[in-house]
Amino acid sequence: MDYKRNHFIPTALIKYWIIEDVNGSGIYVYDIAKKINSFVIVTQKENSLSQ
Amino acid sequence: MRNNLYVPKINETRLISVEKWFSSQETQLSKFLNKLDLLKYEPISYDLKNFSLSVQALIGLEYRSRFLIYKIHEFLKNNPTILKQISYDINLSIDKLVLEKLIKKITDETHRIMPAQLIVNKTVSNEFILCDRPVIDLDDSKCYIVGRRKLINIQKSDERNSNIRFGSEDAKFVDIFNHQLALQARDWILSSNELLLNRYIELINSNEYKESLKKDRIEIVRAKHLTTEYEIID
Repeated sequence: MDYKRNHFIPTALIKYWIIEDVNGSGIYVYDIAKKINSFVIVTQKENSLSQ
Repeated sequence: MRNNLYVPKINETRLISVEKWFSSQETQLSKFLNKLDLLKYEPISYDLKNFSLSVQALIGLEYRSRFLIYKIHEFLKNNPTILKQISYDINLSIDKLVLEKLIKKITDETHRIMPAQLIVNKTVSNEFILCDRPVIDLDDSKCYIVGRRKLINIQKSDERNSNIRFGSEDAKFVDIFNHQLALQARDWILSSNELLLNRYIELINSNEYKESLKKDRIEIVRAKHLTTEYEIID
């Protein structure tokens, strides 16, 4: 999963769900098609996501 | 194009005009949500243009799901007669047509709802999840999930001017709304709480969710409030 470029998750909203985890700032996301549950790190500066 | 929603491409060419349009919506929505609490004390008439853009950006959340774009694309591809009816140019690519109709629908809905009344509700303890279709249809209004503990109800204003009201804090409806959000999610759901997310992943893998998939359908609706088509210039 790579959301670095394409923001399927609206950037204006995502910041309100970000939490601090031992691995960094991020959110818990479930990809329905792939049935993958993951903690995704969010880069605050770019408002982008990477796994 | 369907995999590049925020940076739309057709035939590997970036659609800069659409990209800017989406980007301006994101920016305006972000600014609006940042200062939402302060707007309690400001009459909207002072900033009506930006308020309209904010409403448009909120409405856009309903139509920008990658799932919806994919479904509409597949429907048009498999229904050439309808494609011909709604396309002003037979050589127009389906990708481009879908984006143009998307922009038109968002703009038309904005015109329809203005002047708008926004009712902001906050919750104290319970949290909302977020999904790719974060809008809940009620009888005469729509609720937009815009924060872990915040939603905005939008309806046409009974008054002459647009306005914002701040509702009372009420956590009772959060579970009901989260349930609905999970049932209408088609691409992803997210949460800041792993346990909460797992609860709704269970729902997505249930028969109730499978039943909800059967309700998905394409509806052809004529624009009511716009008189001109939008054409994307590459």
